[in-house]
Amino acid sequence: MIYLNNAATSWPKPEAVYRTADQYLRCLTGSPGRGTHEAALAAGRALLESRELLADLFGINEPEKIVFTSNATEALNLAIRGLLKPGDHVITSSMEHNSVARPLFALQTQGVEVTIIDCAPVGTLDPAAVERALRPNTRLICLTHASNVTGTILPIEEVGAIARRHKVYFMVDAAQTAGEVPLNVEEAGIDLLAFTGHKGLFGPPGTGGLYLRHPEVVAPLKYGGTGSQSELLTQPEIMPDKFESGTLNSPGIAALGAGVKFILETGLEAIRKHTRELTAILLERLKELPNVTIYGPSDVAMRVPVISLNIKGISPGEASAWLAARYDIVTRSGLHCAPLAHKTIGTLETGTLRLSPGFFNTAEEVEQVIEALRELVREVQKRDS
Amino acid sequence: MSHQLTLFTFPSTFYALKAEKAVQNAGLKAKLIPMPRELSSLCGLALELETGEEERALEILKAVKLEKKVRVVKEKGLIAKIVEVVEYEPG
Ligand SMILES: Cc1ncc(COP(=O)(O)O)c(C=O)c1O
Repeated sequence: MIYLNNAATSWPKPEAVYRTADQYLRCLTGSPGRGTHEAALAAGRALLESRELLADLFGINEPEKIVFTSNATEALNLAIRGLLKPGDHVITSSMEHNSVARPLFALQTQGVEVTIIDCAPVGTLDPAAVERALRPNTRLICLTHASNVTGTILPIEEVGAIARRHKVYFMVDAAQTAGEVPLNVEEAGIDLLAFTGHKGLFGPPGTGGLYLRHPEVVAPLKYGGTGSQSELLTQPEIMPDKFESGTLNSPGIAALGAGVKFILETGLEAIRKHTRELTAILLERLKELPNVTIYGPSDVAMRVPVISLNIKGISPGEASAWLAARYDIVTRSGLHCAPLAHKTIGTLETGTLRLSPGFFNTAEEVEQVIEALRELVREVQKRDS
Repeated sequence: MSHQLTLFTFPSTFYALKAEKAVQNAGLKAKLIPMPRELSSLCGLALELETGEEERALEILKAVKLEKKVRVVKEKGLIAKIVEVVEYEPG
């Protein structure tokens, strides 16, 4: 199998991730913060360790301001619904995933004003357009760090500076960039950072989190047991307990920590260099194929390793199925949960075929995929002539 | 056999675990124990160490949020007497 669907979920994971999940699942009982037997303590220590590793990766000074969630979607919902009130205005982009677009759309029906900045057809965003959209009641600017459709990296530093200048909260959806592109909450002026564990961070599904610079202005999504201040019926304000009610997925979070450790040890530079090379090969060689339209920026430095394309004469779904059936190549077709982005690039009707290599893919694999696509293009031409 | 010990309490489990890591990294012998209910209810854990090590521990724990410092006398493993309680400013 050649797995080119890392933008959906990364595979394989580093060995240490499997080992850690197995070890914690096998040896730990109880939940962190409740009961002191050694196993529960070990679970608590694993959470602490993962929090500290993530803080290290994102340049966060206070690890307790990272709370764990089940994925990026939950983190984004927590931030959006916990911060915005009727009468507030929020600015976002047309490249957002539905995990941002849908919660905002839902709030719009409750009196939150939403402005969507149109991106260019390659997915790029003009920061000046964000500044022009500011209103006196703008409370939040919410931006994806990179599009999961075109791979376009958005200018978070520039937009972060605008947010800071106008004293507006700034949220970044790092689902496609955490573990892939350097990301520092101080440099980019990020107040809320949502990430998922199972993509570039090499963790298991069901892990993710949110960094909150100002936890006091965000209401929890969930209320419940935290193992602290148990006599109170009010939710504790102390971090991270405020947003971590209920038993956490500690084996998963421990394994996520192992994934982050792998990234810190390997070096983000080395990871990025390799995935960039694979992306460059794909972009370069796919351009040579007739009847293939590639979306997103042609400059590989402006992308994460995500390439969307269409082949004339065949739907992305049929192409993806052909690649899987004939060569055991895993890709993804469709709208990738981002209809606004497809509208922006003009593929709302068709969707796209998406190739997303990861750190564990090789140049040879990528070459094989190109040869398979070359054959597919030829076959489609024959069928249609 | 009676024995004087110092217990540190914390506003949440996060700080208790952070404190344990910090003092253990500095080579102190300290362990997290279930919080005796009469001492505090903020978090379920207390950090226990020999009172003789208290000063060094406090130095290391400056960066960690503390709730209280409690000196106790234990006899046969049970708290016989609370000798001293110091509460720290929240924040
Ligand atoms: C840009 C972007 N945001 C959010 C998400 C949601 O992540 P998750 O499914 O882990 O909640 C994804 C991926 O599915 C994504 O690509």
